[in-house]
Amino acid sequence: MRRQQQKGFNMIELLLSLTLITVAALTLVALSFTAVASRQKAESITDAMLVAEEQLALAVHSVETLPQAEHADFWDSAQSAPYSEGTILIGETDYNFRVTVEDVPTGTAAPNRLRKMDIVVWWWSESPGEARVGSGQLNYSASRLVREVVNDETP
Amino acid sequence: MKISRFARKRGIILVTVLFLTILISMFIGAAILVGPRTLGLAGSQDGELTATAAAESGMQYALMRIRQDPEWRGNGSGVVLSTSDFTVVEDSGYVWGHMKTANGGGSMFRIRFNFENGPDNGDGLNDSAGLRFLSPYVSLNNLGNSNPGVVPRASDDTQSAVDDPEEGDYVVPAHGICLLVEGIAGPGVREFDSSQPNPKGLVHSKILESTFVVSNLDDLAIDAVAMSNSDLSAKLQPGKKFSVESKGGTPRIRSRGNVSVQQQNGTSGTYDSKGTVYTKDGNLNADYDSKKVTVETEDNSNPFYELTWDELKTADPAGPKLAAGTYVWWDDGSLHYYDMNYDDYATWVKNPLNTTNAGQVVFSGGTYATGFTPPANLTISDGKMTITGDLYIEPVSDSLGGVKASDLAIIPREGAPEEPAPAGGGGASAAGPALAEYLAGNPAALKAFFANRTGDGSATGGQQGWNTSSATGPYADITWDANGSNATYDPLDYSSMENALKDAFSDGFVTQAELVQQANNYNLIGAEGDLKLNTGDTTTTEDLDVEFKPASGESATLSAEGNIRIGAKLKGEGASITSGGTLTVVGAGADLAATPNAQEGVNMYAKGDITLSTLKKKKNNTYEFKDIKLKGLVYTWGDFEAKLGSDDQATSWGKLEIEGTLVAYGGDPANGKPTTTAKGSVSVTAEDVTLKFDPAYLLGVMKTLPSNVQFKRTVWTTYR
Repeated sequence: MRRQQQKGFNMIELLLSLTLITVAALTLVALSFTAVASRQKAESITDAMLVAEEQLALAVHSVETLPQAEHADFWDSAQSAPYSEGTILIGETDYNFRVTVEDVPTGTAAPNRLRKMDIVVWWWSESPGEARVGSGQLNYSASRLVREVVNDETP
Repeated sequence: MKISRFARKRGIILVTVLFLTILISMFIGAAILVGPRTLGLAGSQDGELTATAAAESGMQYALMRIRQDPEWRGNGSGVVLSTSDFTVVEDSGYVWGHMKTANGGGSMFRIRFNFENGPDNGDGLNDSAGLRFLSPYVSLNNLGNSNPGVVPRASDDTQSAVDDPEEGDYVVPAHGICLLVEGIAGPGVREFDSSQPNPKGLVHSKILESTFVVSNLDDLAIDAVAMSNSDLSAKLQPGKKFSVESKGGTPRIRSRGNVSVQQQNGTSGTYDSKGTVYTKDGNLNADYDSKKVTVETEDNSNPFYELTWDELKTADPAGPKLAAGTYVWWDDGSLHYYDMNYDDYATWVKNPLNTTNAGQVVFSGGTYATGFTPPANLTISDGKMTITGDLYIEPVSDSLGGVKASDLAIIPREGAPEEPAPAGGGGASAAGPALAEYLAGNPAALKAFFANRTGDGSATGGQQGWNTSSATGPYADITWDANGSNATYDPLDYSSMENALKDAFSDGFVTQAELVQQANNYNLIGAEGDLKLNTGDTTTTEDLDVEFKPASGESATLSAEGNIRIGAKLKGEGASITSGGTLTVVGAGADLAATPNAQEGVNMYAKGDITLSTLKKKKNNTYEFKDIKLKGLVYTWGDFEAKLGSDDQATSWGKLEIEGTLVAYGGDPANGKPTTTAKGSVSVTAEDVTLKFDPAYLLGVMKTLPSNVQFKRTVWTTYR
């Protein structure tokens, strides 16, 4: 009887081992998912930053280099309406963006106005305010000031 | 010791389990580390980008402010801008702004102009009351400077001062700007306290440095060293030159009339320049080198530089003020005040009953008279008035509440003659105008002069002669029938009376001898401004001084609603004289410099004519003209005349030098371009003339830069 007991694990040892292995495996899997999600989110944020940078740069480039008539809408557009919006596909993700501009009340008139430009980039959701379980809100926003520049040839 | 086979198996299992445990732990550890770190890297990237955007925003803000005020150095006071998501604070040469993004994140920019090395030691700023934030990166606004400027670094110690403003790694070009803006992002700037420019907690920081030059400065410079709405003429002594230079861009003169340079003998004078002259008909009436001077037709659609009265910096009526009127220096060193405009005073004091009237003595025996306290910014000493800050000339009311006096005149008791007395009494050509001026302001004398002059009736077409029979009020109605045509003269109008006398003279009703005699009777023979009171006083403009002496880096503006007439040596730096009427400087020379910056670049500004005369009467009754040197913008709505020489008597002539810009607009610039060329002439009589364009003064007087002046980024560096 004693000899038989020494041939294998007892039930308690077996259950303990299985429990430990299960917990470890589940933890590993969960962390792997988290790591993957974090990496995906980081990659998405990086992509969103690129989208934001690109869109801000496009607007600034337009204001700083094109003749004034061609960017009049930047200075005259209604503040409630988006100045520009759209979707850009990077990899398999659609990045939605919306650029808005608002007057900065500096007391100066054209051609020395200042506007604050805000951009919001979001993905996965329909609107920038929605949150995804486990990832939180998937959006990125940036702001910068833009000064009016007259590029027309001096008469 | 013997180990059983079973025991060996369990050992292997133990090792295996341990190995797996370590392996799994490593995976778990890696997963724990990798996730947040990946996110952290993204966050760091985000922080850097946001900080960069904040720095660039600060740069845009600074450029907007500099366009608004070319002399801007972060010298606003307190919160200058505040919205729900953007706030800017300016204080003592420090600027900090805070922006919120759409998802609630925050970013900040900071700019420092203050060198913290004493008052105006390279930065144009006084030290702040307390260091706002530590930063070795100092910006430099060199826009108003026609010389390159060194960009220094502040020290790292707690004072963070610029030890030597002349020492730096590089320079900003003349009329350039070097901006170093720190952008800050991260949790430490999520919230904003306007009194606290330092972040609270972890942040990302980025320094952007950019140098800007003004891209179209030449357009300003060639807009011209002198602009006249009507003729621009100069009379020089033989062999001398009318020189036009520029400290930046092509030297240019623009005139909507003719431009001529003559010598005293009437022959052509020399125009010396390497630039362009724009005239009404594309001709320059002068000797010039056509290889160096281009002459073109002025395009009347091009506006002149416009500086309206409202845009002008004038002394604040609520600040230190001096009563308007005439201030007269007597031989005993006393200063007497008369609460009347100069023209009224000149007429009033010529009445023998008033000549010895002492008025209100304000200074005598080296001290201020009882009852007179000089305003702040004015010091009076023997023969000298020193203006140390802005001074407003406050109009004086009459008993009915109307304005009795709004002028400021400072003269010696016998007056300040603008020209030598005419040789030999001047004849009818000198006596006539003097008599006309006197009669136009003196009803009793007017009536007496014309009382017995009636026509002889011999001319066809009606009675010929003066008719004083139908008097209206205290004045005579004067009509003159000459050769059958009626002419009516206004007895209150100087030019009308002058015409009346000319007509009477040319038709033989008044002889030359009588004109001279009458003028002598009224003690009128002399130059404009020569009161000829025969008091025995010998004080001349040579003995008197008006000096502008503001604190270093500050300015002093003298402003009057009416005319300003200064009969004294005029000198000083940081000076600005603004007149709501005419501006006449009759003295023994002037050496007056404005401050080449945004607010104080105006040297002289007058709604009426500007007349400069530097006649000095010497002890032997001969005359000489002294030099005039002005730095800054000289701007008149009317005519500009510089009398630094005269043909009337043998005199030595003075030199005229203006460094800055001279504008004779010819009207109120608020109304745009004048519709006629009746006003806006420039007339100079001098030994020689030098006009030197300096855009620093032109930029300085502009409250905002014109739209054609753009900032061009030439250097862009990123730190951190």
